Amino acid sequence: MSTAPLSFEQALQRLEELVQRLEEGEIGLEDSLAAYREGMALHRLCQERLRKVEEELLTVLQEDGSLAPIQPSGTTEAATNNGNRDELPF
Amino acid sequence: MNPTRPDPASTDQVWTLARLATEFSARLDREWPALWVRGEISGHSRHAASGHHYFTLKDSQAQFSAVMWRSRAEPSPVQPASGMLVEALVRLVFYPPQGRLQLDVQRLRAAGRGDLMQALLELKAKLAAEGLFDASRKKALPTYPWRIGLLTAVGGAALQDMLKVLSRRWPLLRCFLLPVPVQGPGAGPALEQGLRRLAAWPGLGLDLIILGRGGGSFEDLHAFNDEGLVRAIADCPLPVISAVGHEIDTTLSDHAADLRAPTPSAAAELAVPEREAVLQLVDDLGRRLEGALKGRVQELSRHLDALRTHRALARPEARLGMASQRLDELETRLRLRGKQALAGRMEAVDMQGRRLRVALQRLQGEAAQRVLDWPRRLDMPLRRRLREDDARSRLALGALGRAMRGILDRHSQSLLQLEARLDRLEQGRLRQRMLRMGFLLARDEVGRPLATLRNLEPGTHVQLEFHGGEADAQLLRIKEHEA
Repeated sequence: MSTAPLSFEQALQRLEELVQRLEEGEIGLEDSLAAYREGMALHRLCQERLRKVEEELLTVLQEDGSLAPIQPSGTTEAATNNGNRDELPF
Repeated sequence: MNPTRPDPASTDQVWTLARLATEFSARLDREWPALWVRGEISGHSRHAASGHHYFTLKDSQAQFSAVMWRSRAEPSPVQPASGMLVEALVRLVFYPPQGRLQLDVQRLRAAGRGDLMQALLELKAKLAAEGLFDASRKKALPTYPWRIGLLTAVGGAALQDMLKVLSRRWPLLRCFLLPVPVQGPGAGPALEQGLRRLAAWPGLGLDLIILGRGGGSFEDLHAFNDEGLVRAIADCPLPVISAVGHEIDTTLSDHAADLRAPTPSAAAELAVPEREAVLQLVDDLGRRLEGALKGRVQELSRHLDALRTHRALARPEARLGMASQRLDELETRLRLRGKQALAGRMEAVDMQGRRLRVALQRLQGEAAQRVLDWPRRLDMPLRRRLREDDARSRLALGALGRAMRGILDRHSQSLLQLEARLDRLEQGRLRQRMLRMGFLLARDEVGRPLATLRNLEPGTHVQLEFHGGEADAQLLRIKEHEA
């Protein structure tokens, strides 16, 4: 889940840098094209990350140190079972 | 009509509860006149519509419900408030609808600060002096949190409020709840231990922790004034948002936290961004990226156009113009002399002028050709290309300058020659005019003009030039004029 080489924050920051560099116009045509290509890739990455909605909003930490996902009564998330425990990345 | 005390053994006399309440109230009136009591006010509330005050009077051993009617509270110089230590003139009354004994407060006077409040203020001053509440200690909250730890009661409204807001604003989020009691004895230490465990929970990788509970009385929220908890918040390696009670309630936890939210819902609002807004930001950046690239390409084309008209050509043209002007000046000067004899030379000058123009035009053409070639070579790295062409332009201009200087030098030389010849011609004309007027030109034997009497003596042979001829002569007598 968090094995991506670039975090969302880093990707967004890099994207902002590239846009700024292109807008300042201090670089040549080839570098401009390279910046554009990298920027578009980062743009896609950020969009995808923002569309990745977590189905399991809440996990309750148990007294014995284990975890139990629960269905919060106040929200209408898709139903999740306790069987999903294996998906936790730790 | 006055069976003041029922016979407990009698079964034929069954009282109504209403009668019991009436009898009891009457007895309280009789046997408990108004009296002064001392206690601490807690759980104070003022009913908005009626203006009556309800609270609890308590000390370490006992507590009574109390009411202070609006008619008595309004003129009172001391207004009841939670935590206040007071002395109150009270009547003990029975409130039948709830079967409750309560105090009817008639007058109120301050009796110093309440013990609880006093202890709290002292603790606050102590922790503040240690710097636990300093702004410099506050950690920045992450802009985009993905994992949030929640420290609150599992069944509380605070939890539901927070989850509702968090999932609506930032559904990319995962929350991890460590359930803890948030009020009652032991809640403070439980909160402290919970916070320390949650922050250090292995593998959880939290971005921040929200600590919260809903509203309640001063006593209900008192767990959040626990010294251990306050220290744990200040020590916490993760940013902590404190959201305890309602807006008006402030606990020491709020002071120690990195951010204080007025309510649990507000904490959720402050903790996460809105996904739609972030999506919009990302889309904007994408649009700006495309716009910037387009702008960049347009700018480069404009730059090329500017170079074509300015960089290489403007300067040669200026130089050409200057050279032409110089030529014109020379021509004018020559023509002003109006010497027929110079017609041939002038042709030569014209020739040189034409050659100069041809040479300059050739150089100009070369420079222009290079500039016109640039767009075809755009596929090469532009900056290097511009630098090369710039160097070539400079080379071309250098060659142009040298060529022009050479041509102008040669031209100046021939002009000097022409001027020398003109002088000679003019001297010739002058001499002819003088001879016509009757002046003679005397020369010595080798033809040098005789300008003085020096070296002359009677008998010297001289040559005399007349208008239209010459004669040989011999000097007879020499007389020098007085100076």
